[in-house]
Amino acid sequence: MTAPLANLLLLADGRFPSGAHAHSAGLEQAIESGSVNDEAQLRGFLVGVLATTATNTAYFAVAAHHVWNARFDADPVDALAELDLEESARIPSPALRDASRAQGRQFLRAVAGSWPDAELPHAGVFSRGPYLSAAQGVASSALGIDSRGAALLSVYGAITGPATAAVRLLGLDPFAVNRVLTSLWEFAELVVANAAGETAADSATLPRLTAPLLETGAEAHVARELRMFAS
Amino acid sequence: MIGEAELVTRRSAGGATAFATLRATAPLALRPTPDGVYVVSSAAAPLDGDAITLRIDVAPHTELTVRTAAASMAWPSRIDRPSRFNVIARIGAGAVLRWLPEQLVPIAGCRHEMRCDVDLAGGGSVIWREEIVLGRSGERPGDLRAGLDIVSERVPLLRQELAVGPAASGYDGPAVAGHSRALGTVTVAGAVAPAELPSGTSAPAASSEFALMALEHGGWQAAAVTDSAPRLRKLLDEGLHALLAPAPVPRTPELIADAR
Repeated sequence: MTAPLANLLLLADGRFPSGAHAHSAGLEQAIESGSVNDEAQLRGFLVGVLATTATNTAYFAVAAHHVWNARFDADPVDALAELDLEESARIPSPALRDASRAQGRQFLRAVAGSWPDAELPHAGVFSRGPYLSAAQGVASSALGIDSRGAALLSVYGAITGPATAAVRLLGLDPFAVNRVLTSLWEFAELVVANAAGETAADSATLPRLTAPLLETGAEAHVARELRMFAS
Repeated sequence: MIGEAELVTRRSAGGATAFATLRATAPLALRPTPDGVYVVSSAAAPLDGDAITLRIDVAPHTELTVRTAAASMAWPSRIDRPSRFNVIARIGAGAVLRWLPEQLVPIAGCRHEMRCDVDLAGGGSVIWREEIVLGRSGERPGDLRAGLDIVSERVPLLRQELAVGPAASGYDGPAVAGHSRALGTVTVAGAVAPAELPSGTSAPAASSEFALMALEHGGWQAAAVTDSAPRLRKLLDEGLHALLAPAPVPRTPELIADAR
């Protein structure tokens, strides 16, 4: 696949039709519970995300990328199923698993619709829908993006999603929110570099850092009737 | 200091649980009581790079409850190496392990790693509680990483690691622990875990403070993030009760200490 960098820009673009705009990744509930009201608290939220769930998912995106890159040498179906098991064990909250699978499913659909020639796993491989990290990993591989690009896509989405939601929900100054993001980029790059350097053959050893308030918040959020975001 | 302890049950002729091995080296001691086996740690452990390993083997069709008498303190470290506490638990077919210790308190300045690996055979059950109080009154916590893996017949049910303290970026932010003082989980997996929540169950409603969650491949986790140790215990007890009621909670068996 040609133009890997342009492909990565398209995948990461908030306007890519993958449904990401419908998810605040826990931020709406954090606002609802009163713990995020301004840019500083948004920054605290995003630092915690980067250090925990975004780290986990970046490693899983890279692992899925490796599996799909090696698909001609080793059967990717079993390896993707094993990654799915391992990621499931890291997400106790059914609401968070559902949100990730819904986004993963829509992400792969959008990739297939945008690049009809891209070689992607057939639908039966992910019986419950791929986790977003798996979708990002295999799509990056199929579109010629390297493993660092897969990690970058994953981390970028994990922090820009809630940041965009904060602008919409709290009416924060978009410039100020972007300053929060640029101030986090050094840390985000570290997460990306660590994940991209991962070569562990055993997916059981991948990171499993937990963010308890994201778990409880996600369950409280789906129980609410009135919400703007799906997660 | 390197401490080791081993706790192995066996099924006695009458079907009751007895001990095949009950052995510990300083700084640990094991005290069997009718209420379970108490893991007792001497005054100032873990400390400064102590590495302690506790191996638990619950033989098929036996039951074991493990407790601690008081909260465990992870003390400030004076060396550049974390103290470690590893628990390696194997639970046989038809066996039950209840791990119900008191809270772990990472005191400001500590560097502590707790790692628990639970291997569950088919038909075995585990009830595993983990409670962390974020430092003593008025202080912020030291560095703690607390991990729990539960694997059942090679299927990972749960792999999680909580990191708090100055080395854990964003731990006190609104995604992780926020302004809470006490957080923890109780995980129920294996044969005692219900497939669905029992009808008429009365778990606290989901809120940012509490959730009761069905794991993807069997088992449940109640999680609470709250302001005090008593409140944490109350929420986790209510979560556990909701999971195990109305089915009768298995009675703690009389434990016969006949180990040599």
